[in-house]
Amino acid sequence: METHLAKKKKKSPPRTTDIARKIWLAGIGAYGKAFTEAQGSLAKMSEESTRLFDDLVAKGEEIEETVEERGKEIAKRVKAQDFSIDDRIKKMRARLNLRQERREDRLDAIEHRLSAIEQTLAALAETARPPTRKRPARKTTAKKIPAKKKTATRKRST
Amino acid sequence: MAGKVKTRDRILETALALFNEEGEAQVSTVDIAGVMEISPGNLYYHFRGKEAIIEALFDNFEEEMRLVLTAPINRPLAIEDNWVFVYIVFEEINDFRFFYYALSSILERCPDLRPRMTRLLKLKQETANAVLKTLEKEKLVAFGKGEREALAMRLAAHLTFWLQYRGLTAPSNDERAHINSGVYATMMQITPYVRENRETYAAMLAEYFSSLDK
Repeated sequence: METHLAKKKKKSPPRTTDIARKIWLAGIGAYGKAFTEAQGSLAKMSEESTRLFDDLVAKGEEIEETVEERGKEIAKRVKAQDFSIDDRIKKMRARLNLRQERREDRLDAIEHRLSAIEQTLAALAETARPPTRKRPARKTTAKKIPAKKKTATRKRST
Repeated sequence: MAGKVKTRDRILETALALFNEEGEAQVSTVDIAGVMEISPGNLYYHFRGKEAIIEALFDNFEEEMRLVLTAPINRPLAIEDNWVFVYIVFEEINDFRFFYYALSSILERCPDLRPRMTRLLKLKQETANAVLKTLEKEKLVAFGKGEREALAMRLAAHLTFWLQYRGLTAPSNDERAHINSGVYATMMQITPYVRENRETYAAMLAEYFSSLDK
């Protein structure tokens, strides 16, 4: 779904500032700035909420002078930003001095190892003696699931 | 020597991956050693049992979570960063979810972790309070007496238990969807206190997040 979002974003970059301004004018302003991310979904907002939104923008324009200063500042910040939530998360992680390499990336290496072991185990299972049965059986499940995780988390890093 | 350090880290990584996917209770040190293709003795050389592994993992988690949680207390976030921040908190918890899933069982076996976890939860609440205070100062939200503190408490609880709740009510392997829904539910809890154009705000939140789930 990340890529889905990213695609949408790419389609409508020129509207960014306008939307940012509208959001500001709609009074959800700064708080909703994060919503500039939503520009893609803004475009397909339901008729009802679009109407509501337009009303608010109209109302907002009346008081624009008082908020203009701040609106501009925010629009500037918003414009300067990349609109991908993933990029913003990454940037913020860097600012907070967090791991840049997310664990799931490192898990890749583990996944490779796991599938290699899985094959070895499968081969072993055929020749396995009964007493050692229990462990290998368990390890097999242990191995499968991380592989599943990989596909689930993969989306995020793209 | 360098090899030893590496093995230790690999043990932690492997353990974390297995714990998160299988549930901590289902994974033994022998399983971890088996997956890593090292001998149980070698693993034991680095960690004297599963609890030692859990505690080492907690060290990492605690260090990182503190960095995250103290950031908005030390310096208010730019407002557009607030929800990015919520994402990061959820990501951190998600990376360490086995611990949250088996919280009471683990704390029973690792009593040293209990006061540390308690402090972390308290810090979480302080962080939520600090963020709300900033929003209040910016006049984006308004609280009656005691409401901000109460909301901070609810948000801390929400952040702590959301992933388990989702795991029960909407089971799926899509971690990103769980995190998205958690961020959405966080933002929606703040909505009633938004001063202006609350409905639009809520409507846009809903639209934005539902667009993520398609």
